[in-house]
Amino acid sequence: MGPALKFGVVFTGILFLTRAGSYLFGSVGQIITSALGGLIDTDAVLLSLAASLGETKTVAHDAVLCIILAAAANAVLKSGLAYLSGQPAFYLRLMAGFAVIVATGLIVFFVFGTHPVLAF
Amino acid sequence: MAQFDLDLAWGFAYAAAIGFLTGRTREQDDDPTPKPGLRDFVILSLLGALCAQIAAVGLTVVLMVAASAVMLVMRIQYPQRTGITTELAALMTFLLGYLCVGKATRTIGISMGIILAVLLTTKEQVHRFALQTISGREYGDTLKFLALIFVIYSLLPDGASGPFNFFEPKKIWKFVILVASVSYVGYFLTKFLDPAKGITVTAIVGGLASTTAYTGGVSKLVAESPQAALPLAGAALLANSIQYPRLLLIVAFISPALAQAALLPLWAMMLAGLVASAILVRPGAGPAAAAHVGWL
Repeated sequence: MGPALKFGVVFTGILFLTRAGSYLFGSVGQIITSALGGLIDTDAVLLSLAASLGETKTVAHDAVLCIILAAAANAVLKSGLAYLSGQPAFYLRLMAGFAVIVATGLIVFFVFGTHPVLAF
Repeated sequence: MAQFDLDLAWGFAYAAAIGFLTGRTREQDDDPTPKPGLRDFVILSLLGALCAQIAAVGLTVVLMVAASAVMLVMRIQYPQRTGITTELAALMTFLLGYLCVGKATRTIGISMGIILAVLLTTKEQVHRFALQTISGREYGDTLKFLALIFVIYSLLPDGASGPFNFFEPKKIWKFVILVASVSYVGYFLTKFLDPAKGITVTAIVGGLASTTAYTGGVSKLVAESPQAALPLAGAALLANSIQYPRLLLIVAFISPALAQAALLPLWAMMLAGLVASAILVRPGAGPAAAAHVGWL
């Protein structure tokens, strides 16, 4: 129950931030708040993005970029956790892996965009 | 003479079969004290079927009360017997026989009869599962999880309020349930999967449950045993690669269009992570370290 309530509070906070960000600063605000939110909880960011889109069929290009940036920010958080281990053999590998992951995501996004690939 | 009613005959045949199935389970006990047995169950089930056929409410009630009274008298004669499973099963069998006659209720009568028979034969397994397999804490967590879904969700108000309409209690709670469900399933996967299968399985399940908790746990392990740094780095990357399809799944519940748009980049990220992790894990390097995965 505790973790679930905590997620509820975090999610409400992130929902507020991303809504406020996109309301006040447009898509740039949404991108920045998504990246910041990714430092706290990726699930919360993605769900608040998904919620603002809801059932709509057309998806803003930006929303996908927001997802990748949130994942990237989350990778920074994980790298921080790994750094706490104090073992370069561990955290440097993790950071390298995350760099590859995020770079791949960004390259694929900018090269292929958001073409619908396969239906679920 | 009335015409032969095939459907009715089937109804009584089902009733007899259900009585046999449930009664058979009662014959296994090596307990010598008398109690309702196989034939009694068949008779009760057929009595129920007869009551349904005659369709006299008074008769049905009287027979059920009578059956209960007979079993009560039996119990009084043998005070050393404990538990009332047999008696309750006998009453239920009467009702199941009743249900087998009517065409509309037949399916539920048959299926409930089979469920009852399974429940009766798996006494040990059910007890072991309820008391040993599921710990007190897990039971408590399960109750809370169900309360999240069935109690709190129905109490929350609909609609949105606050600046930018961000405060939508019911919607927010739906997401809480979604994320809690994934972690809940992940938790029990970790529990029931053999930890001896090692680091790969724990990493995958860790990625499904909570990558932040998993990465934190693995980092602590590395701090304690630096010689496992290589395989654990691979495991942490594996867990974090699994996170991307998991994110897609969660998003797909709310906005299928967004999930579809993000499909290609997120799958690519997973593949990149898997490749990186495969390069980092040397086969046979280090012992399989079971990392603890927290709740959410």
